[in-house]
Amino acid sequence: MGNETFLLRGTRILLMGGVVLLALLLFNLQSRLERLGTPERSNPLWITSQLQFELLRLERDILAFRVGRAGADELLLRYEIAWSRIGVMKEGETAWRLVNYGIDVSMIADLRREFEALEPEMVGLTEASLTGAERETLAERLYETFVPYSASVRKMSLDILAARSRQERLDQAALVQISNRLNLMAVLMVVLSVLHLMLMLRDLSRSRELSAQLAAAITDA
Amino acid sequence: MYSIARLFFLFLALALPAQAAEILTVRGPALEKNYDMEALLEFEQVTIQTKNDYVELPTEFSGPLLRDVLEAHGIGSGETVVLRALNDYATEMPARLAYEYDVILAVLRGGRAMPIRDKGPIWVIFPMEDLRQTPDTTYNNYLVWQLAEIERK
Repeated sequence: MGNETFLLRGTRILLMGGVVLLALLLFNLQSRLERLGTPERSNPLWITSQLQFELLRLERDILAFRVGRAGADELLLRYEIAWSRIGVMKEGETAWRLVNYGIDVSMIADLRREFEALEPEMVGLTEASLTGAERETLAERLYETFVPYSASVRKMSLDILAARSRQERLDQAALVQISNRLNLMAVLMVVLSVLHLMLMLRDLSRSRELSAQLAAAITDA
Repeated sequence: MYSIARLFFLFLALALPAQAAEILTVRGPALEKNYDMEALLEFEQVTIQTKNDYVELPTEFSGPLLRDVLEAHGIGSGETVVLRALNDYATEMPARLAYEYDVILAVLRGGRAMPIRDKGPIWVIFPMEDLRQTPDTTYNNYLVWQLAEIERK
């Protein structure tokens, strides 16, 4: 009798422990799923592709500016937009993810320094402020500055892609592991519940027998 | 207090001659208009402090409420607007979000005008902490920086 009560209490404690463990596993699963579900515009790959795209547009406009097909205002706008993409990569979620992926971001700092170095020539740039020769010199300087970065940005995109694939494989493996643990826990919980129920029924039956015996003894007395 | 804030914003507008050019075009059924900074500052200015994926810390942004601008152009909450940036990035946004939340067309960040290189001159800012997040809604797509155009779809 004492052993049965011990068993009943034991299965009850195991059941409660199982519920706590299940809750922890579900919480872990949810946080991993949330991490997987936030790609969109803070995705470093998207941001890097935007930088690549804006640098290409800047190069195109530098060439157009050189031959007079684009004005100083168009060139300035493109220059400012390209510069802004560096800021996006160096701040907030994107910067954090790049560090997390282990990406070498020194190229971004170098590119920023190039923009800063060009600033004195770009401030106050107007059509009227330039002679033909100055226009050509500026265009050449800009072109020579930015063209070498195309390859670096492309390499960075590939590095991010590789890091992301690696991270996705790790996330996938972790999800499979959590799923397996959840399945195992579910089976254990069912077994424990059935065992608990059987022990309770047996305990109830014993109690009824004991009550009947006591009632009979009282009647006999 | 409101008039002091307006004076401050007007002072900023006057102190920034480079910003005097038209910076935003809004196309709605009731009105189509190009705004310069001064015209945008004529709307009531709202300041919010919020954190999004593109800033490190909770940051103070100020500017007119998007719903005030939409209302002025006859764009109701049941419609969809297209937000287009200087670099031609465009996204469609249900206008109801502007009516449901205090979405602002931020022209100041930390009390300073934003140049194009710092996501300005206009950045659509949502009060991220007030949003009811749903799995199928990606508010980040609506945080359009370098906003240049708003039009009814």
